[in-house]
Amino acid sequence: MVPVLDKAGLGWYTSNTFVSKNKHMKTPLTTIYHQSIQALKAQKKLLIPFAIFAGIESIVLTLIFLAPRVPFNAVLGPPIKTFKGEMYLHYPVNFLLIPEASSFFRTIISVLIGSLLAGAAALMIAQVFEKKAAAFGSAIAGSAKKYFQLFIIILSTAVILHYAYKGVTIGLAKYFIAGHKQLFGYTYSVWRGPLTIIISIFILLVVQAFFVYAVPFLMIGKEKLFKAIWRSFVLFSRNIWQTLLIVTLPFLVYIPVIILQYKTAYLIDNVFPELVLIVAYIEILLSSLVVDLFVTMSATLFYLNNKEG
Amino acid sequence: MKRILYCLILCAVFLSGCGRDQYSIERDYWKVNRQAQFVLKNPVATPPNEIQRVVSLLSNFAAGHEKNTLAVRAEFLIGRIYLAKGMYDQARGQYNAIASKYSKSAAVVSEALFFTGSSYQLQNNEDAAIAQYRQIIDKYPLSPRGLQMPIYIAKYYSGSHEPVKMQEAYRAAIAHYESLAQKDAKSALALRACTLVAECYAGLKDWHQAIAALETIVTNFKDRGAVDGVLLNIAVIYQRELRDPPKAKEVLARLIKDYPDSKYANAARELLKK
Repeated sequence: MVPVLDKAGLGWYTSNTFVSKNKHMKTPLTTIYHQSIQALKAQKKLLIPFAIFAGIESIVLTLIFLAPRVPFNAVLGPPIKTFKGEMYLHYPVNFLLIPEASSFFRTIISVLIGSLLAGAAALMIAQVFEKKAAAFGSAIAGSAKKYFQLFIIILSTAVILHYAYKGVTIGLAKYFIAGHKQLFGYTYSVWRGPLTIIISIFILLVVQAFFVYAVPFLMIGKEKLFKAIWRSFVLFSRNIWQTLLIVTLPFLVYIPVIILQYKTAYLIDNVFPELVLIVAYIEILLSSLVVDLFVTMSATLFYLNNKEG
Repeated sequence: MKRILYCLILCAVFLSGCGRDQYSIERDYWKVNRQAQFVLKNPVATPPNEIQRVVSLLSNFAAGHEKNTLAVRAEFLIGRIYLAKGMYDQARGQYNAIASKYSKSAAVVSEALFFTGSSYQLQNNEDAAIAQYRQIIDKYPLSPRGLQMPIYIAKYYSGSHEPVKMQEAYRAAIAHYESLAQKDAKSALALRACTLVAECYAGLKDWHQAIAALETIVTNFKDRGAVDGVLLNIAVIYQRELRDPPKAKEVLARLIKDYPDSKYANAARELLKK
């Protein structure tokens, strides 16, 4: 690595890092990732909140999978029949429900339990950053004290994402129902399929980038709820590219799963239906133990490294 | 902690793989059906031993789940494989066996007779095919297949470019359906029969009679459920077939007035603007 002087004269950085010319940027992203990996190597306990979340999600996924089977169908069958239809209780159509249902329950678990675990994770990362041993018990206790604020942050993110996705879908449908044949050269079938997924991913990353520092500001910076959210927005606006990279880079490993989930019907017909379940389990492992882990760790460490005072 | 985890994994494996419930039977059927679909995709290139293997898979499935409806499907699938492979005698033998085995079920027997007729149809043996189809009409007129057969015969003649026979078949179908409808004018069967009468007149391109049949449905069934779709059909016939836009608009106005919240109301409003 060859040290180069940043043209803006802001300091010494290494040439292969994502260097910002923004005056508020102090720590390069490679350092953040290096710190994250070192922290994980030294303190495996940092994985606990993410492993718990993955465990809960896996149990819910298993229940969704077992819903059409005796004895689970007695309890889980009626709601599926009411909301989705009787056909989703039969093999192999029930596998079509798995990606949709797991995504729905993931949102609910994120808001209800994920908020608590996110707060605990932020506190544990701060403990490691201060050269202390990570303690899950004290972190979860600290997080529980601010559960309501954490709940509001995660709920706000989920609600914004829900309406943003809905806005895109309805907007596109209205545009094409109005009689337009194409939008930017693409027909409705293209927009409804891959392009909607790409737009949804873009929305997810941007919304996540806005809120990604809210939990560290709340838990570590001891800010009030709305101030934590506001300061997260400010930190993002001052470090747009770094923050977008923080949320985007881990997300890249998730893309093959998204493609496979988009092709659920194809997998059922042409490979074997149980592959959908395997993909869903892989999704849980990747989302909790790679994407969420690295986004939370790098965002918290970025916040800690660049904390004023 | 590890013990609990292992117990959970074992429970999940047991519950997902070992229980013999309807779901696991559906899974078994899906597997044999998949093998059958490979054969049906390219029956000509499939060697006889592969046909035999798939047929025995389906037979074993049917024998193993005799009381399950999927067993009937598996047995019909065997017949379909024989038909696709051009083994017509074996196919008819299979359908005969199904008809004997499930002789108490009008729906199953009428299906078996229909596919027997289809096998003759595939061999261009029109008389034998029609004889099978007429047998369904005579013996099982109220089964789902039986209800369809009179109009099916007319369409069959239409497809084989025999206009005189087609017209005769449509007239016979109309008489058959009208007699069914008269038995209980307000029943669900009468509704289905009247709809088929309208379809028959449409096949004859006798649009005024088709409208009359649809109007009968409106009169007899408007108190029992929404007939908005029927009204839209009448309007479309006036517009497209009889080239009578004022009449079409009159019916559309009726639709909007009687069913303002109908899913067809917006389409009707759009058509009224034109």
